Amino acid sequence: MVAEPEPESPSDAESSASDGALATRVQRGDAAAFDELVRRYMGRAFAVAYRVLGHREDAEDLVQDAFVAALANIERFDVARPFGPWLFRIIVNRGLNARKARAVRRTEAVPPGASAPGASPQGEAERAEIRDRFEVALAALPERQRVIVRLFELEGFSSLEIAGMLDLSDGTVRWHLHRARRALREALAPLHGDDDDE
Amino acid sequence: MRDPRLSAELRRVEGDLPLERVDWAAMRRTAAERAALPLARLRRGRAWWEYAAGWARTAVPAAVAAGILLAAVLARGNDSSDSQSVAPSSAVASAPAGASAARDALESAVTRNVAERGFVDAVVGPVDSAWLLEAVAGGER
Repeated sequence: MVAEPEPESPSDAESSASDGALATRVQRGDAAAFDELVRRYMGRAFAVAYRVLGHREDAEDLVQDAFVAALANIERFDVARPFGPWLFRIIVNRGLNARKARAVRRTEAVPPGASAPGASPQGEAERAEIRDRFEVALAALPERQRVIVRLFELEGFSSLEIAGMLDLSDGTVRWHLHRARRALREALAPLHGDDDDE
Repeated sequence: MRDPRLSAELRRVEGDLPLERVDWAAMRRTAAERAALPLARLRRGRAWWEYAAGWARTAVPAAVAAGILLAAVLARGNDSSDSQSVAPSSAVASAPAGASAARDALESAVTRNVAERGFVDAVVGPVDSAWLLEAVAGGER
């Protein structure tokens, strides 16, 4: 799960207001209500954008674009529904389209040794091999499966939440997840000496 | 159900979210700046031409589609009336020659493609003056 950024002293009334109440106020042009929605969702929105695009600056741009796009369509938003899934769907759609339209900058590399300080050279080599195998296995996955497995395994979204973002059924997301995890496990099996599934 | 080993290895490859490198205040400020104009528009309400422009997006394609449909229906109507008017001709094609000629004449008269005299000739037989001369000559004898 994503740690929400520190709030910058929103008023009590705004921080306790429901998404629906805030969205209703935004529909009337209330800037404070919009700012509260941004504050409330920018952390998770950035997580979704980053897992789709794999690049911090692109993800920041995408989040801002998505908030503005949401505002442009706020009159069509059903205030009885939660705001987050609607925003995340905008982010995923735009992110996937951006990936298709242009070659986004390469996923930011993890600094070598950052995850395991003081590891032995043998351990480093093994980690490098794991990284290589994972990169190959991930790159071989279809785009949707890659996004689904990242959002599920890394960001803690449920299959139902991901289904809402991708406009798919829960069953379809589970099927994609199963395929992606099986492919990743198969890639890792020689290193771990097993081939278990699910 | 999440797979802890898969999650851990995926995280090692993909890395954690670079949350500490994001300038949240700047992101929030930029979003507010970009939202200022749309929010002002929402506050003042939409002008009539903005509603019209919104409807135009659906109304124009719908009108074009309706026009194409109407043209297709009219063209089809003309085709079918043409085929109905030629149907008798095709029907008599296999009929005996005499009947066919009479029917052709009748059809021509109906469609006003033949003079009245021609129609009468066709129905009761052509006016042949030879038989009349014979009759007159015979009567005199």
